[in-house]
Amino acid sequence: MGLKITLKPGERMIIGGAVITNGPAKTNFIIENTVPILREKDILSSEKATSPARKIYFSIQLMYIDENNLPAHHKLYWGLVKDFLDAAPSAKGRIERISEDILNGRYYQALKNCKKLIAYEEEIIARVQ
Amino acid sequence: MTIALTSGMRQNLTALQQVDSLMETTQNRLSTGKKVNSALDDPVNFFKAEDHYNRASDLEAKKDGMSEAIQTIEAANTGIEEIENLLDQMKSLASAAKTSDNDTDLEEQYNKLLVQVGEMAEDSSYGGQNLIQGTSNGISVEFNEDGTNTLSVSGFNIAYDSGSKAITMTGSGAGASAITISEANFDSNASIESAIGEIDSVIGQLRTEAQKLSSSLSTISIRSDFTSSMINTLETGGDNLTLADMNEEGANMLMLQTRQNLGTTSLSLASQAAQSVLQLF
Repeated sequence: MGLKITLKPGERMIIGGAVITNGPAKTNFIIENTVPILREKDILSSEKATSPARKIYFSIQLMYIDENNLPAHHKLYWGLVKDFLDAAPSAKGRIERISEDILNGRYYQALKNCKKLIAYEEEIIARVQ
Repeated sequence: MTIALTSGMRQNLTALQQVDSLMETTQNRLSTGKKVNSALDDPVNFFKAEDHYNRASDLEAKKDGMSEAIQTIEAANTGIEEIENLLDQMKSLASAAKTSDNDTDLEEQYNKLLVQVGEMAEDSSYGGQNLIQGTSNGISVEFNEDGTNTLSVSGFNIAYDSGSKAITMTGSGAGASAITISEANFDSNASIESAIGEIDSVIGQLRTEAQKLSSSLSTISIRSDFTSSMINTLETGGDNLTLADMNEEGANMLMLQTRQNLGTTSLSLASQAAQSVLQLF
């Protein structure tokens, strides 16, 4: 049973490192094996990685679509995480969950959990603004 | 013959090894998500918080005990309900005997049900505890962490005696008298009436016992809710003593953001393929 994906006209996604843009019509297709897939709504561009949590998201995204350079991405990730924890120790639980996903190779799950971290970051920054 | 690793495998291997060592250092880092991590940082807060956490976990254990007790009572209650159904059925058999010719059949069925009542009581145990059968049965539920505040739930006894062929019910509480339902004798209307009378008094007693149990049940669930919120309070208290302040964190985050934007931790991967792919979005 593959993964069924529906793309809206003009929607883009990344499959296994290739950026694919849908043509003018709606497209349905099925992916039969396991490859890194990212839909447009889940993709964070490098310009938009403006906050610490977003940078973490970005680094996980790199791990997901670019497995060849895992060590470099890991290094980047742990560095960002350390800074994040220094600044906001209460995010420990959330970050632990993400790290566990990463260490077990579940990058997509890590991205999902990282979205929660981004929301949490917004919450704590909102407290001082 | 030597076994050579291909360059791909070698790369993979080093990657894995690196991840391993990163994992170790990271686990250390992650374990320090607190302002106070050891007695050295702030002994008073550290030990106070430890105290709170310990009490919370002690209470957690008692809460498990409470939920087991609740289950035990529920098992007994199910037993009581079913026994009541059986007794109702017996009562209708006795009533039928008043106007029927084949008393013997009805007697036989009645006596079979009588045995069933005893067996039903026997089977209503949960985790080795049976509140509706046994002579000195009952459970004691502990509420606080050292087990000094307790509630005891006493059970009662419904048993079938194969010698006298009768069900005997002994209620809970001191000086509770025993009432019996004897084997059927549907010879005369008078003896049928007395059988119905016996059943009625046992049903009455059963309802009283069920009420006692349900009152204990609600006490225990109130205590269980209380314990849950107590655990929450304790854990929040412990966290407040050791975790960093949210406002402070917010300020730190802003600082970090500024610092990162100034390029201290830049995303120094611009040359790599993956990032150029992401630039398309």
